[in-house]
Amino acid sequence: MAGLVVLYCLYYSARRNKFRNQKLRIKELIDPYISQSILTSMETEETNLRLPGFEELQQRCHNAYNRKVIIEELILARKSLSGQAAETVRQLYTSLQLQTDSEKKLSSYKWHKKAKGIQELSLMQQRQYWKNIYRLTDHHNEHVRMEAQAGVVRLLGFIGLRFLNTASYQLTEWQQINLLYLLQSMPAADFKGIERWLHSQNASVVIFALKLVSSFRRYELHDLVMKCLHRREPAIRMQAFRTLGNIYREDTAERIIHQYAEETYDNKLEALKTLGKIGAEEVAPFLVEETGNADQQIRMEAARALLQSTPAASEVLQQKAIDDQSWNTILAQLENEIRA
Amino acid sequence: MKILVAEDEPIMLKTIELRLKKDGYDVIAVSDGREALKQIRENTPDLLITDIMMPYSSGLELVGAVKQELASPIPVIILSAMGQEEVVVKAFKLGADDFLNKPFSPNELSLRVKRLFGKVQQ
Repeated sequence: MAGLVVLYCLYYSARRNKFRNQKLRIKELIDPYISQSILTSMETEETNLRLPGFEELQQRCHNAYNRKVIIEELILARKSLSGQAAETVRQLYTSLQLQTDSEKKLSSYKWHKKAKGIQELSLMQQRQYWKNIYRLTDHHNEHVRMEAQAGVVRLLGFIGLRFLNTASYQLTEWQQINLLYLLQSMPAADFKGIERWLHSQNASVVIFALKLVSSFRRYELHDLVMKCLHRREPAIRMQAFRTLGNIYREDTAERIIHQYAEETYDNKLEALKTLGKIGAEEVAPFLVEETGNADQQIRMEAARALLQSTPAASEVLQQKAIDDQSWNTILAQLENEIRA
Repeated sequence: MKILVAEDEPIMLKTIELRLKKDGYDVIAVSDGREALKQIRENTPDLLITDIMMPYSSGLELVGAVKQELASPIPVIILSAMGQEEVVVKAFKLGADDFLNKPFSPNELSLRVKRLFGKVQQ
């Protein structure tokens, strides 16, 4: 038995060394080739290059393990480069026919391979696969689903968000940040669909739609955002308050105050932050009233909003500090914030 | 002009090295923070370009070393990835002069280097 274990260990070690050496050899070939291609492409403004050594690379691509290593290196380079350099990397990937390997991964039953395939095809802008990737945007596996959603956005831009129409799973906070980041690095789009998503039964889709309204300043959707303040999910209402802080109109502050009394504690704090951001002098009486709230956090947020709304705020707050010592701490903190 | 480039991704390191050499600079290319620190102390470069996440010593430690240990501190360009905004702020507080978010174009890096050297010469 012990002999078998030793034999297996020796076999495993030899196999690992073999792959390690093979990886090193192929990296020694591909890494300088990629760098040289990028540099030459920048000099010649030609991205579809065949530098000396390309035939050797093609030869090495007959081996599946070599192709795996080359794809890894190209993906790594693609993630760090933009513009013409990125296009050169993409051209190299297609001229070595590596997209077929990535496509095979899409149909793998292993979730991590599927996710990897999606990432490779979308990073390399292989648009012909968008339908295959789109079908995975509501996949039961979270990693596959997230990669597919990011993938269609990489390939199609804002139109790729069409998956939100039928999204049955919740979008995680991280995924929302990731999608917004991808969208922000793309050319301004035709923002169709947000209205529909604001009415979605999937709370995370509504929250994400509200973030889209906020990030891309869709002022025309102000009234629909207002309606979200009447949704029963507190998280949606909280995001609606945040969004209103970026697309407010003359009547926004008044309508927020109207909603305020019915809100949860956390949403009241958010509403006060938004009122501070709007900074409308007409809401000062309401804010002064809230500085008398029994809760210290509410008092603090109301005072902060008041300072942002009217020049007379300092005087009002200093008067409060004379009558009530606890205001000294709040004032000191707010003064520090202003100085910072 | 001598530029020290610290970046742990071999392709990026080689690409940056070739791009800057094409501009006529002497380039010292290293792939980890420890080697970069050694080069800063022994070979005082005129400019440091460093990735933030690297083995042994991070880009932030390099900025600290350059700004505190060298008799006349040299300019520093930070290369950062998405989600590292807070680290970039820390780097600026330590004295970094510029930063580039990945993905970036090597041509843009080249222009930023020229601009920084231009400022130093002024």
